Amino acid sequence: MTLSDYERDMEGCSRCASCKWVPFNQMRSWRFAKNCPSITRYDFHAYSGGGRMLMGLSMVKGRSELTDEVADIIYRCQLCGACDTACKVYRDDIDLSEVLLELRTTCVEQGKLIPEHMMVIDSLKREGNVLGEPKAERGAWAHGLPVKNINNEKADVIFHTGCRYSYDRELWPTLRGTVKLLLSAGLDVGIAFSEESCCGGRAYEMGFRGEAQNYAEDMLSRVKASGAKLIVTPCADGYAHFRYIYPRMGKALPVEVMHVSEVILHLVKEGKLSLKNEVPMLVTWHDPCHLGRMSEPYLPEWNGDKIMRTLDRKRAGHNGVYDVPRELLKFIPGVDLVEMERIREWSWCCGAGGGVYEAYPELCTFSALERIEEARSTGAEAMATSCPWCHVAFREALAETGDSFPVYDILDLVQQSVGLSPETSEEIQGGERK
Amino acid sequence: MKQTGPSLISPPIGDEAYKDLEEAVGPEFVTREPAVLDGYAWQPLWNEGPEMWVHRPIAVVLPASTEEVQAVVKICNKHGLKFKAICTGWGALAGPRCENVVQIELRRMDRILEIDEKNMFVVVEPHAIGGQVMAETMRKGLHTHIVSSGAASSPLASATSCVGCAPDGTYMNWSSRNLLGVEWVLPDGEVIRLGTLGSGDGWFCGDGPGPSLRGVLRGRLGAFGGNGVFTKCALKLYNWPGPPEPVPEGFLYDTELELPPHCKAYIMFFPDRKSLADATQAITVEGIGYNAFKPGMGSLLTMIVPHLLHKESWKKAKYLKKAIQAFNYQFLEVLATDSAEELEFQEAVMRDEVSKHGGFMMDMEHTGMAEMIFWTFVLSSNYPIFFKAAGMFITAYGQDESHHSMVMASPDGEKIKQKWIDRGGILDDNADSGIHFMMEESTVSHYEEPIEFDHRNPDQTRTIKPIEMEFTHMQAEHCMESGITSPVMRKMFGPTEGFYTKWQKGIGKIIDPRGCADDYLYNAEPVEGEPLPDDPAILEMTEKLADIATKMAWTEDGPLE
Ligand SMILES: Cc1cc2nc3c(=O)[nH]c(=O)nc-3n(C[C@H](O)[C@H](O)[C@H](O)COP(=O)(O)OP(=O)(O)OC[C@H]3O[C@@H](n4cnc5c(N)ncnc54)[C@H](O)[C@@H]3O)c2cc1C
Ligand code: SF4
Ligand code: SF4
Repeated sequence: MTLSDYERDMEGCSRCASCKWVPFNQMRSWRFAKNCPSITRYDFHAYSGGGRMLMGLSMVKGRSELTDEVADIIYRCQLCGACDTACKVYRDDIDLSEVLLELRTTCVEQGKLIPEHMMVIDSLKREGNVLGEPKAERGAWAHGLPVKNINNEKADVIFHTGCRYSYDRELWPTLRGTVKLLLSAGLDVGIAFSEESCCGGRAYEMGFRGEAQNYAEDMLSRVKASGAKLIVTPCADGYAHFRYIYPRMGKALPVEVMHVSEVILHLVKEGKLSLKNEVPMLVTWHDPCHLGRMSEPYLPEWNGDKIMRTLDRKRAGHNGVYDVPRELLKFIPGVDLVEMERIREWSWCCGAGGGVYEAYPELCTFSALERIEEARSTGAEAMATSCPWCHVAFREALAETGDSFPVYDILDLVQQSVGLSPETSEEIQGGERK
Repeated sequence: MKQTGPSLISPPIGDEAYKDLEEAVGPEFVTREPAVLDGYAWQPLWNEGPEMWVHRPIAVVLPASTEEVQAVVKICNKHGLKFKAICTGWGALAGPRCENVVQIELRRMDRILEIDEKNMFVVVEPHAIGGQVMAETMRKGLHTHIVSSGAASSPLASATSCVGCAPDGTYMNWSSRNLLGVEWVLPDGEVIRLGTLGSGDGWFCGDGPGPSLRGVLRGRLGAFGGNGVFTKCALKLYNWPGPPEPVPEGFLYDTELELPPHCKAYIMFFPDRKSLADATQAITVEGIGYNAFKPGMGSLLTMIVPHLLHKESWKKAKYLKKAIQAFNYQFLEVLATDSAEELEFQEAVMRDEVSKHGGFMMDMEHTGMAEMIFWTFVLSSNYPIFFKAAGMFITAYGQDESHHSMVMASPDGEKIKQKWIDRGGILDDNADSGIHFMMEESTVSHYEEPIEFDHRNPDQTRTIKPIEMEFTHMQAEHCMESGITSPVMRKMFGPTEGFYTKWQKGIGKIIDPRGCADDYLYNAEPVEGEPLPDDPAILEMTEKLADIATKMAWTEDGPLE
């Protein structure tokens, strides 16, 4: 698909502005009524979902050119999908998120590249990850864990760690604890150590389709060779990309993909994990875009007039993962959940997605701080989430402002309740085991 | 007022003017990037086409305060540019309608400045949208009038500048009636404050002590940006007896939240149009209802089963269509009251009038739809659904007159609509979709025929102008008032309506001596020699209208007779 293939979608925009706001039934205050970090920060219509489509339309109709300024606006967007969900409350014939993706690809095709994204792509090419870290160290986090190496052993479950978890040492205790839980519950888990690569989703979002395609193929062949029945990932980004972007590229994985929170809930319900310790805490839950609305599985393109598209073929964000973490929190004794105003399909983005973390740290910080303020307004003592990128966006925004507000991965709370103490960095020795 | 070709693109803004704008609001808040400007030029709604673009603005500015608005307006005066304010910008009313327009996007002026619970008013800036104002006022047991463009649109824009009727008008009146103190940047850059605000006595009254120019600032329908920029206003609030923070599950048809105590939704059916008109007027005169309107069965179908209306089988479903039409004389009443006694009284009055006029009524709880109807109307969250079935809609007719004349005129509207459905120009919604609602305890009633079409289909787009002309013709024949927003039509019909155009123009010259406001929709003069569209249907209708206008014209000293 190309941008012009979405001309009817773009022309469909009535300019109703719904894409700038949480769905109106859910609007509870003046303060937290907005849904789009980009237009909230920059204010011109072009920064909203609808405004972005109209820039695309203007270019497709030959009324304007893709200039550096236009490309810059296109990139200042987390591809968080909040606009798409809001638009689809009313419309069946506009696929806003898809237009935003096509705009990115158009930029890349026309050579409108930005250095920060190029660095990510270079890093992907050189080291197979988006963080510029050495490929050889990708499995270092698993040092000493009794986990299989899928490069030379069969395992039922492939644990796809993702770039951020693999290299962010602050997240390693969470990650290692989680794998220990899976193993203790009897799962036959394997990882690819240094052979694991980025899922390629970030490249796709940045507009580099060819790169993304390569990583999808790499993943596909690894999965096929492993004979695994299930892929589990703690990375919400990867989860969404496997469920949506891979099939969109024609590279659907041949096995089931689960987010680790889904697996943990399953194990708790089956009695294989016991959440017995009190974790007395009033928490609020941040729905990561990639675990929520953006993880809704791919649906094939509708051929013909989308006005006639049936609801089961409309990707409107309702089939993301929303209830699983909430249910899991309920299982943890002592945890009380208090909701923010912008949740589920209309959740506010942390700011990190779509290449914004890499290229526009100021926009990322703005989004993250807005979310922390919302979390605080609930009276919660802490915010829980389940995406390493969200976690890092919050952590860095807080550090930048010298503010503090506890942010937990739900996996940390689970581990506390199970009674697993987090390992210290001294306990985690660097270096690959195998 | 010359149009610059099919793409309506003005020459770029000069560097000096642009630099002045940057200095006024900060470089970050001005743009002249063509693709960004086109976001303000794409306006398919209320656009008479054939293109869906209006004029591309030469720049867009984002002022953050009255002072910045004032500075921008003065810069336009200095450089001979025009300007036009935009809030949500849902429709061609808000885009530039001529060359050289600086679009003043008011998104950064979005505060709710005060909610005065005791005196029941709210003070807002332009971009505090309806949904936000509602959410904050409901917490205090108060509610805000929102027009049927819904929660996304600006209550200030509606009250100061743009029409103002809605189904909640049965309880919360017209937007213009709710307008209290106002802060106004005139087209020459002067700031004036109206009503009590002008005499330093706060916001509570629009008519003084202090200057009262409410009639001048908006007339009946509003100046659509043609009279300057309104930067703050106070709006009257009404009682909200429901919960302070209603949070339904779901977004639209999946809405779930119990009805609050003493709140209900009723639907009533009548045997014919006359009994519908009589009964609903009698009910409204008694002050019954919180939100009340006659939906069209066709409009309901477009929302609930949009696909069906595109199918060949629907076109041929003669008896199904007739059966549906049998329910056309219906009326929806949303009741929100403070006590069991009040609810009982309202129900009793309704029951009495309905049975007197041979109708019957049903508590919508029996249909399972009460919650959805109640909340989506009370929260104004349903309106963009008009665009689901076909992509675009326009309102043909859109008149406000006495209730009887409006309801009894609708068969003519339905006939026009059916003719164009038969020609394949618009979506077949059974042509029975006239919508009515009342304001001011029924002294004014609104009627409109929603017409749904796909603006991406040139065959359908071409039909819209002729349809609108035909409706205008019908209005003229029935001597109905008309809200005319095109210079040619204003010139034609000004003499039939007391030469109001001359008064309007006279005021315009005083407040806008350099002609800087984009007043195309309000009091701009037609361009001599401007070519008329070459569509025979439009030409024929224009001639007919000219005939009527000549017959009805007054002299400057009074009626012709
Ligand atoms: C689906 C739909 C249904 C509708 N139904 C109704 C209805 O039932 N009743 C009704 O009254 N209207 C109705 N309308 C029209 C409606 O009045 C306007 O669309 C709405 O009020 C516009 O609000 P907005 O925030 O979008 O303002 P905009 O579209 O931004 O502006 C509306 C007009 O006001 C001017 N304006 C805005 N702000 C200012 C300002 N601060 N100073 C000076 N001028 C300003 C603009 O230039 C423009 O001409 C409907 C529209 C839609 C799309
Ligand atoms: S919600 Fe959809 S139709 Fe409305 S302005 Fe946004 S993109 Fe356009
Ligand atoms: S994807 Fe997110 S950031 Fe981008 S325009 Fe839509 S709501 Fe805004």
